[in-house]
Amino acid sequence: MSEPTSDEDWAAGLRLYARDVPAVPVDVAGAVRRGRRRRVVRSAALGTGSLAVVVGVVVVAGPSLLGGLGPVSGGSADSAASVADGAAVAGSSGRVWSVEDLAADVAAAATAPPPAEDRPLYAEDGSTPDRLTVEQHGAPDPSPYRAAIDAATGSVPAAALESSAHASPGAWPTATAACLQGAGWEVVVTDDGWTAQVPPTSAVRFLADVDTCTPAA
Amino acid sequence: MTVVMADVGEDSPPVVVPADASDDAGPATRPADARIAWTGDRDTDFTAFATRAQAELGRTAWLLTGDVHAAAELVQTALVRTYTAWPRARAGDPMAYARRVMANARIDTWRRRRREVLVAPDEVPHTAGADAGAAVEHRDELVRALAQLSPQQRRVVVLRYLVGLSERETADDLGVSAGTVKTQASRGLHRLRATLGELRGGGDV
Repeated sequence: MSEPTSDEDWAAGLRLYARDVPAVPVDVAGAVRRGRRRRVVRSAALGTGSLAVVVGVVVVAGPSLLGGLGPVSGGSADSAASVADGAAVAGSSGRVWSVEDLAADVAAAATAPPPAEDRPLYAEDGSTPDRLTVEQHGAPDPSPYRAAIDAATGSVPAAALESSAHASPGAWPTATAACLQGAGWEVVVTDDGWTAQVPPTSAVRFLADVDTCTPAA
Repeated sequence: MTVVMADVGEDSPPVVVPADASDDAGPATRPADARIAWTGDRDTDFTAFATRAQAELGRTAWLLTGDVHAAAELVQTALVRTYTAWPRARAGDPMAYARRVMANARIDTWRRRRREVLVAPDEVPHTAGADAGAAVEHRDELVRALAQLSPQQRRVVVLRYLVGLSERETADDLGVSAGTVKTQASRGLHRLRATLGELRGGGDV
């Protein structure tokens, strides 16, 4: 009867099991391209505190995140007021954050490991709010989501190609909301869009799912 | 460790300098068996690094995820982040930086989002060759066993035992204490042993 092998010896044998793993395709040139874009997005977010040029259809109402970033626009305040009138605003401090602010927060959080998708977003007082209220009005534009996702993960998803919400004009809020609900989010359809409740630790994932659920133009 | 700097122009390709034979800091699977003389140009230097590191990063990513597509995405994310932080990454160890990004990725959440099963047997690619059958069988057994570990135990086991990092290096990559690595590695390994038993074929020791 042979003696049991030590853990270290057994682990050495285990390495042989992992000797022939399949080749994983790597796109070095693509990484360079996306890295360049990510630098640009991050520079914009950190340099100006705003990505307002490329966004404007999503409004986040909730406690301020990673304090010190750019002020809220008047248009966002209007949207916040409409959100504050709704039933889905529990926990909101009344301050309004547009998606460009969220993208800037995510980009700022992405400046150092761990990845931003692991990093919760904090309120100014250091606490983590229970949830954010995210609201979208009008025709969807995936570019802000993609900019935020790219800033956080360095990888623009091919979500539009996989979208399950190829809705006709006028029907997209319902289709998008249903898609988001299917992904596990609390979403309510409004007259011209939807509202959603999002944990602050899931901002990146939510943006990715919004992108997935947004019909291609 | 010997760092070799070559006096080359910005447009010149980086020079890969074989490491000194005595400069062996770890198992043979470790990536830094050659040093790259940086040119100072971000794209050139990063491309040289990534080209050299891609196989090892891909292997680590596959062991972490058990899926080629997921691993490719994980490596790509790590490389993009490493490019973005290149001055900082290059000042230290770019490979460690890239590996750190991969190790800290939310591989559990990420798998769920992709609606993939880590170890679905049909998704494990097969290779050809004389010993391919046994190798694939061993590989499948391993990845199934790894899937039974918690994400953190899997990270520790992969980095510590399959990539071959020291406890300290594993702790640094994961941002935890060496004691945590020791505990998680021990538990993870025992669980693997319970699952796999005595290793067969090339795994016998």
